[in-house]
Amino acid sequence: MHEASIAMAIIEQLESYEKQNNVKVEKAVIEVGTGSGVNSDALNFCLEELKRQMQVRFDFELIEKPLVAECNSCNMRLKLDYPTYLCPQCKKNSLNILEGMEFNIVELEVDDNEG
Amino acid sequence: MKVKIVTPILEGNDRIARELKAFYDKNGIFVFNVISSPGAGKTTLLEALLEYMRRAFKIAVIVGDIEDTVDAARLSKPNVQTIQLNTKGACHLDASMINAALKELDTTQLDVVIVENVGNLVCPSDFDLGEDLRIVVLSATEGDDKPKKYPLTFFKSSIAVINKVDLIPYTNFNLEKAKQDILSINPSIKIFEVTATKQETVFGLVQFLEDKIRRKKHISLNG
Repeated sequence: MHEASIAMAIIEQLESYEKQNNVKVEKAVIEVGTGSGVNSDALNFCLEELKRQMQVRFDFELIEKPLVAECNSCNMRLKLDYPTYLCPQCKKNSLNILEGMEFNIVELEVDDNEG
Repeated sequence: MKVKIVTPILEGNDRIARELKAFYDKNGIFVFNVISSPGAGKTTLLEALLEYMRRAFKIAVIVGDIEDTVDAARLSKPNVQTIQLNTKGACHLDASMINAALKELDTTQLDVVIVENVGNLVCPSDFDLGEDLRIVVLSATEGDDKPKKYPLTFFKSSIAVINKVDLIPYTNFNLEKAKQDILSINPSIKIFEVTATKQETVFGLVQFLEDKIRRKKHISLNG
């Protein structure tokens, strides 16, 4: 999808975090759920390109988070390739997605000495 | 130093979407967001829906396109306010664009807001616009493989409209397979088969939507 504009949004968020907290961000860890609609390879490419072209100095680590669901009917916990409510095991409309839809910044490495 | 945080990257959009939803709920305005690939027939479908719905309700249509205003012109009808948003390259509408559009509209006594998203089956699915209902339109000429290829949009929609069913005999579109695939992603989705160029075929969808619109109005008036 729109990974380039998302990459820009991430960089803007990191810059505003720096201003608000008076620190330098060195690295951001980003969690990309398989079901989020964001393609982590494309996002990685966009982040690296922005770093190159705009002299952004942040490092990024992307962690892909598999899509995991639990079926309320057969009590199975399973991995999915794409988001669905239909249990592949019992074919009932009873899946509850537990994780893998998220798209978050989860950790920052900051240098607070430069302040 | 490592700092643990959890910042949803699309949080800015979701916050504005929640504010929009609160505004719609307070005023009893029913909102639906129409998503499809380019050429599936969103505008033609809306033309047909408006022919029925504009007689009973005050409607505003927010039309998203990368360029041009031809769609808004097509949807300008008596009792309907239209506003065209040109995203200038962006592949989807986000909540802040809707917020800006609402400021241009007269929202007093409004019953319905219809958002016609940018033609794209991928990106708009990630952006909540505060709507009550999301409608995905799939046309027979696109092929029956689309639900499986673009599952997120079908997962997040509560109505799927299969358009151009009159053309099925001239294509290899398998209606039963398409319906099964849609239901395998989202078993609660409601499917309507239409030929949007023939107004009467959308009547079932009109009835379904009008019922939802009246219910929302009723709730907002009676608490």
